Amino acid sequence: MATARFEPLAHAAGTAGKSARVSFVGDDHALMCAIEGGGHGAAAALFDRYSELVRRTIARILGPDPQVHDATQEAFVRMLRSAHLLRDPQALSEWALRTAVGTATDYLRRKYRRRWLWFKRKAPVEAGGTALDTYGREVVRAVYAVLDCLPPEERVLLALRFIDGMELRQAAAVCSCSHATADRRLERAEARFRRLTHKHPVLVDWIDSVAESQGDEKGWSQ
Amino acid sequence: MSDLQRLGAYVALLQDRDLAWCAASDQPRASFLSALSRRRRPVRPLVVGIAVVLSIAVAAALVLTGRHPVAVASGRVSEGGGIHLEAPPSEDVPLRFSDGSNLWIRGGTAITVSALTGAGADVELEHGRARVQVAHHEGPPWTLHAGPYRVDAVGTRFDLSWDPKDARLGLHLLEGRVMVRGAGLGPSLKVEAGQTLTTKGGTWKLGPDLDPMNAGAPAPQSPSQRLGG
Repeated sequence: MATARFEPLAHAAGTAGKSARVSFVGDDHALMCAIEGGGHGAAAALFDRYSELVRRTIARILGPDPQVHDATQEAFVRMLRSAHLLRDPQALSEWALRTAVGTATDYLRRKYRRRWLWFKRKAPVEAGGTALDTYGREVVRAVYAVLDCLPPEERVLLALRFIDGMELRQAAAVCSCSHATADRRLERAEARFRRLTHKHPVLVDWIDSVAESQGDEKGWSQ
Repeated sequence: MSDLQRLGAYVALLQDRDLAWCAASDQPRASFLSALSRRRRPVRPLVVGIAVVLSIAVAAALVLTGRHPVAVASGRVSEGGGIHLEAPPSEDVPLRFSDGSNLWIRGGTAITVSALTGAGADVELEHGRARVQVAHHEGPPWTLHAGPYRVDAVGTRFDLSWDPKDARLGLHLLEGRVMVRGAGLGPSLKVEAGQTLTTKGGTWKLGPDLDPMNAGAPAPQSPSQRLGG
């Protein structure tokens, strides 16, 4: 049995929320034991271990949305609340992934339900951060503007499959639907996405240039 | 690798650059831990009272300003949440909107009403043809998309057709005028009553005597015929 070699860190720096970043020594089983024991140290360790995966998955689904940060936090809060339900601690990584996808989907559903509220009218999607160039920002903005028009379940699958590069089987599993359902949803989502790209010249150009480069590749290979 | 997979991979690459920048910050971790230590505050009656008063004020403002989102009087709501309509092959389908505008969708035509706002609607003609009558009102125009083209209309009546296989657009103005944008048309092209615009494969023609709606098949029945008015 794995042993939780873990020291609570909650008040190491004097106040909550300022735990020093100390790497947790132990496998996922040990981490789960620590979480069940409670304390901010365990929460911090869980965050340190999985925040990159959770944030990246949520960002793939929501795109350049200011809610990515809050949704990431919410996903971890959900994980801590439902930790006792996890039967196999070795599946912690998949559980984190499922929780991230579930949290992002719930956020999209809320947004989708409220879309008719004029005072909640969506602000133009902003591709945030400092690392994006102008063209990249434009492409990302256009992609997520199209995804905004898709129903949440279709959007999530499309983002996981095409942006995150996840296998369909895994995407179906983390979305808690069957492979056949995921396949159908993805097909619908792809058709919708292709139809809507016409509204965004930057995407039309991008897809055209890919088609041209594929044509060139074929030409060279012949 | 398909074009969508390439596009997705490109977006992922850009996102990863941004996320790397974000991961270097301690702020998300600190705010998560600080949120965990915060106690949940009980809901205060005063806050609830203010929320109720604000809700009533907002509802009253909506009623008094009369800026209700345009609604559709008939139509099937698709799974996608937008209003998707596909007319049966041999039947025209009228679609009425609460602002007085009308769409008559010809048999076999598919449209999606993507958005309904206080001033109009955003409609996509997926394929087929439709007669459009937009009621005159203040504010932003109705927008119709057909493939790579976009038609902005305020207080006008026209026939619009779109054939995605041949990328062929047909627009015949019966009343008023519209602005058309899209592939090869420049910043925008004004089409006026009596004029017809046709596009195919990146070329376009604008003239008074072309009527693409009548070229291949009979034009849609007039509103009064169709609706018995």
